[in-house]
Amino acid sequence: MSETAAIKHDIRTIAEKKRIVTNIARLLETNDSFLVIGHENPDEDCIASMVSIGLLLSMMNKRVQIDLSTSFQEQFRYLLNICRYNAIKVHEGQDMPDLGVHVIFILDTPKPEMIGTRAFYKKIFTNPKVSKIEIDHHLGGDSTYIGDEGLQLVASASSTCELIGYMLYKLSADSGFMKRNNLQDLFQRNMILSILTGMIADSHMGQYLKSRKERFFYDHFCLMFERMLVRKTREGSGNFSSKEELFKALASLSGLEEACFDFLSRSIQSLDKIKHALLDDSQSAKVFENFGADTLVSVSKALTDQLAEESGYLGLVAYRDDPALSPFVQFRLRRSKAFTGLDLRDVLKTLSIENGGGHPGAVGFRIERDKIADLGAYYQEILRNLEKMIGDCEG
Amino acid sequence: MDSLEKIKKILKEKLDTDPADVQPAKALTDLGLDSLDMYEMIYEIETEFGVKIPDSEIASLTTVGELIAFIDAKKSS
Repeated sequence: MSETAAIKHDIRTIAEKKRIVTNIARLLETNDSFLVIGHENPDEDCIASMVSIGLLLSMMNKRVQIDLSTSFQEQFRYLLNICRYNAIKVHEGQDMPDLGVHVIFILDTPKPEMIGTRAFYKKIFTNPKVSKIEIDHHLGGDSTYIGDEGLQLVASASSTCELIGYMLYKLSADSGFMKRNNLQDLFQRNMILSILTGMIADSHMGQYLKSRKERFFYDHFCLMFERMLVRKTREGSGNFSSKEELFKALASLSGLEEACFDFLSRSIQSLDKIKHALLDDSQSAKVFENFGADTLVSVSKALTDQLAEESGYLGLVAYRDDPALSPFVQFRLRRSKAFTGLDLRDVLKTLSIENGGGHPGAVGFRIERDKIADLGAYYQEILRNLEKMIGDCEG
Repeated sequence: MDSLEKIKKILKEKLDTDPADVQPAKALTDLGLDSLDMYEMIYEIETEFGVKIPDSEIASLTTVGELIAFIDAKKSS
């Protein structure tokens, strides 16, 4: 934790705020294992902000764990349900996170004393090799900084979720960041719903905003996110007039993801060291029709992670994009935590795939469907190559 | 201080923009402002000039000169 207990204040310039986001982006790109924590007895903004950061990291194929060391109101569990189908591990109560953490996110926490009481927190916070990113909107009073200098996105805002929305907007506008990390859209439905939940809940639908500035940005962000949501939702759901409406939207999303996961799971097959699932053209079309692109993207990542861990080596999931939107077949490949011998970026080189990227533990790539005469045969060829590469690196 | 000088001061303070770059013909995007920065700037401008810039007008203000003309028109109305 910071040695000097400086009272939190607003970031003074737009330029400084942008520099902090740039610093955070660099850490996101260069590290693989993240722990996300908040304050004791977390409220909706705290949990929604943890879920939002979890979703971002999951989209980037990072290993992400949310730690809830203390109890929280069961009525907020609907937010955590988002994590189930997005490859985000949530630890509750006595369940302890893995400690091989490179970066810790501390969210919505006014001061160090409000972090949970797990003994290892002290160890992590005093470890100079672990970077600490802090995102918070609590200023003044007895608040004090927790994160590392240059990594404190601590500013005036309606909620911590609003600051996360700001950061995501900036990351989305950075085409280099998006391309390097194989990202297409950070504002998926569950991300928008999660951020809106935190914003609306913490400010009680905007009633508890303290300053004109908070009101100005709250109105702007709510409008921006609601417009995004309308564009992304087949049945209109913008302009939420109550938290209950948001709750219903989130609950229905969770049900949709579960059904999508079940559908994809029917295609799972196993080789000795690879578990995989290929959706052919008609199965892919069914998924898009019934669940939508956002749901498929998040669920396919969660399934790939699960398959990798179950196989102990590799998990692979492939599906064809909606032809109306994209000409590609998408492939997601993930390595088990227990198998570190193969850098998955080498798979892309070996297969001469240029349209793809990722990091040693996870890659995504896409091939134009028209360039694949027989998808099943092409997929089997990829599997054979993967088996050979596993064999080679095991000697 | 006229409106251009005030805009230069705000951009210098908030975005580290070189005042010499802030000229009426300059596009706001060329000064490094994305749409979210623009909202932050609008907040600062509204506070500094005591005018209200409706959301519906923001997209049409693409250059420093257009921004100043809008502010001056609002001030005199």
